[in-house]
Amino acid sequence: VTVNRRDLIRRLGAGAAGAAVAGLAGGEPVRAQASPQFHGAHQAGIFTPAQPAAVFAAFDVTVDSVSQLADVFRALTTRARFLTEGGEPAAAPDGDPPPDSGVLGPRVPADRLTITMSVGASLFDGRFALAARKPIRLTTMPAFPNDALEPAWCHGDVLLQICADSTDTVHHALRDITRRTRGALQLRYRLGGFLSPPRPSGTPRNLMGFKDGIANPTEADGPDVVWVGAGRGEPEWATGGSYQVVRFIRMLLEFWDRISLSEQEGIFGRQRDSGAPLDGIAETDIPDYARDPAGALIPVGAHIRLANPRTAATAPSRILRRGYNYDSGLLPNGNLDAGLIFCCYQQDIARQFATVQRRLAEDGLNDYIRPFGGGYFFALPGVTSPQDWYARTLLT
Amino acid sequence: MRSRRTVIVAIAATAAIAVAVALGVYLWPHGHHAKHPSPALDSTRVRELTDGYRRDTVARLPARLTYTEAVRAFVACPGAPGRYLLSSRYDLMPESTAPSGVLGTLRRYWRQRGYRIVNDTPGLTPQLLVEDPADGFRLGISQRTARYLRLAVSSPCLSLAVAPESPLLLTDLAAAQGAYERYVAGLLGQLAGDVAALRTAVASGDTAQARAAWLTAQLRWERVGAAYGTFGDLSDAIDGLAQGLAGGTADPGFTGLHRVEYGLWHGEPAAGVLRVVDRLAADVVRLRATLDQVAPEPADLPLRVHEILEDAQRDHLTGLTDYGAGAGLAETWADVDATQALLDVYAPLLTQRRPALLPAIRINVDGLRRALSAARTGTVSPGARERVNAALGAVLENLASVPGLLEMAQS
Repeated sequence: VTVNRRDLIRRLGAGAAGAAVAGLAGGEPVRAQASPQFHGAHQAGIFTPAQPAAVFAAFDVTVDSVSQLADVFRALTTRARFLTEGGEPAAAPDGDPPPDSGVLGPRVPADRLTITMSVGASLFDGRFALAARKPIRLTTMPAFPNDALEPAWCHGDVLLQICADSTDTVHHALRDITRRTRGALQLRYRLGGFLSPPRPSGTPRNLMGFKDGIANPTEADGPDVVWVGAGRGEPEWATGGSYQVVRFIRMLLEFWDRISLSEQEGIFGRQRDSGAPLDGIAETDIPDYARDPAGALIPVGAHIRLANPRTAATAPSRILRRGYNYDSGLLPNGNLDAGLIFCCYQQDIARQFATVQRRLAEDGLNDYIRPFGGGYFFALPGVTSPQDWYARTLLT
Repeated sequence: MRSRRTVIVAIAATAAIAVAVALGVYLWPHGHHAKHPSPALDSTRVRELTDGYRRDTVARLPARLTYTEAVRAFVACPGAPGRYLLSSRYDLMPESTAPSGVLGTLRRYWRQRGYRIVNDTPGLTPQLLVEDPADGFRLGISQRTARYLRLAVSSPCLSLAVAPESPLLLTDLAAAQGAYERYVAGLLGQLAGDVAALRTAVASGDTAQARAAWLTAQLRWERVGAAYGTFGDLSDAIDGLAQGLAGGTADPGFTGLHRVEYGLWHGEPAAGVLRVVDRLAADVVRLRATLDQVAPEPADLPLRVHEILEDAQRDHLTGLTDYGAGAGLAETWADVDATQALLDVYAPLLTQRRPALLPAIRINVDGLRRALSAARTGTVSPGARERVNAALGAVLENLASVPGLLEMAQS
């Protein structure tokens, strides 16, 4: 049975747009949304409206043969299919430990769970003789000028982006998956994230207090911005996938709280309270850079202006952002370790994310952030049917 | 490097007339008061309304007229002590030819909106001033020269929760800047001597002596207070880190004091370290020769008062700058020296503006010195280290008020 993914996408897209409008008008967090579909040409969790809870978990593969690797992906598929659709956990013989942790109660709810599976460049090294099948634009994330990358927080063979409406659902899914892949996949790092509710309305705020993610492509832009398709020189199996960039970006929030509001707003290019660009009044106002070439209203070095100059020449570098806040423990200096899990999808990292990142080399925000981890990954094509499995087209 | 954005400055009653003129306040020789002031008018709301009037007006102008400058400030209301109006001006300039017909267009538009004409002066530098009777906002457009237009928006008078601080003039800040440059020049002279001694020690092959000489030089540099690449590329050359470089510690772009530290604590042969030291000596010479060109602007220097210790917290107390010596606490101590030097430079201005601030800072700086002293002897216990973190945080919260008190008026 093949699900007609195009129709599904259209429905999901309409739902997303409707949700956004409702979010702006009513100022209420939008929860009542359709469950993402597990089967399809593309994976869920990319254009799916962002759920409030997430974890980004990278694994290294510890098996040696390609057939064992295929078994790993089959197991991942089975678990992801069950967890995202929900239901009764399988029974176990009396006396055995229960097969489900019970964290979500006796019946596992779907809870809008998505499990988005990506692979890193290291999977295509010599171990599985996959070098010739590597997506041609997949590389290892380099250090950018402001980065202080910690090796333990970088790269990985496989990355899981697990998102759901509730944190316990995310935890349950990761715990279930590690249990079912024990011995074959070893966690390399993980970082949990959350999406703030609208405060008081509109786009959620980041931990610097600014609305973040206001300008984002829509699902209609997918073929131009996000999806890898035919004619781009990619291996056939990669069609329907997408390149994913994950960056763990620590925010130096104590310092941020010690600078003036006008400096903060000049750095972002937006007003903190309303989210409006500094030349506008409302969050949804489009900044008019043509009217302000010298940066009299929106400084030429403002974050929004560097990140998206909104010119025809910079349109090809647009990315689909799907980031989360993180809030996790302490730094050695006693400050909060908190910030942004930057995540974006695109069809060409060099043309898109890396180009944006180069424009941000002189971003005033760089003084207040410290990227410390993440990597470049390739989000696999979708699992198209109940007989299909993740990476089948890569491994067979 | 972080620098100021002086689009918004605040001006109190006695502020320099030059500043008020620059803002376009000349359009209102007599303070005006709305007949029906909105009771809900606060500083946020008048900013929003100002933006609305600006956008509405500029939307009537030809697209080739672009902003060249925008300045906004609360200024004292003439004849209404303790009350302020938000005064904004926007200069617009065409790409080539002078604008024409703009005043006529706006006159028609504003009349149509029911605005009252307050002043309509024709001539070579025509001015048109109107008032929106609904809320008392005034809009002015003037042809300043053949080349550009000035739009001014002014709110009715209102009370502010906190009176705005009057900004400083360039002359006030230039004196402090001069004093700081003399302080830095003196230290850089000493640093050149330290680097020469470091070279001798490295060449002698005595590692312990070389390490001690490195620490002397490193701490001298810290006392300069070169936070945030204060001297541009030369800061990175002298004190840069390997982070963000493609080759890490092996990257040819990793130079300077920390590169020397890395070599001395990782068994690098003397010949290699000497090459780094020679390059360092050359960079110090370059900095001394160009100091007056690369030093921070007078308006930006007040930021360094808190940035030096913000850097210490971010870099030294997280281990980011430790390439083997474990000197983070000693470096932080030297950063306190640098901060103190800048506080001394600004002491008269700060005392005049907020008399309680410097005494409060002094108490917390003393606490930080005590905590650093306690942590410098022997192995640092978690408790001693916690006290350093606590004391530094307290100082930083005090210091955060300094840049706002030392804002410079836009000329």
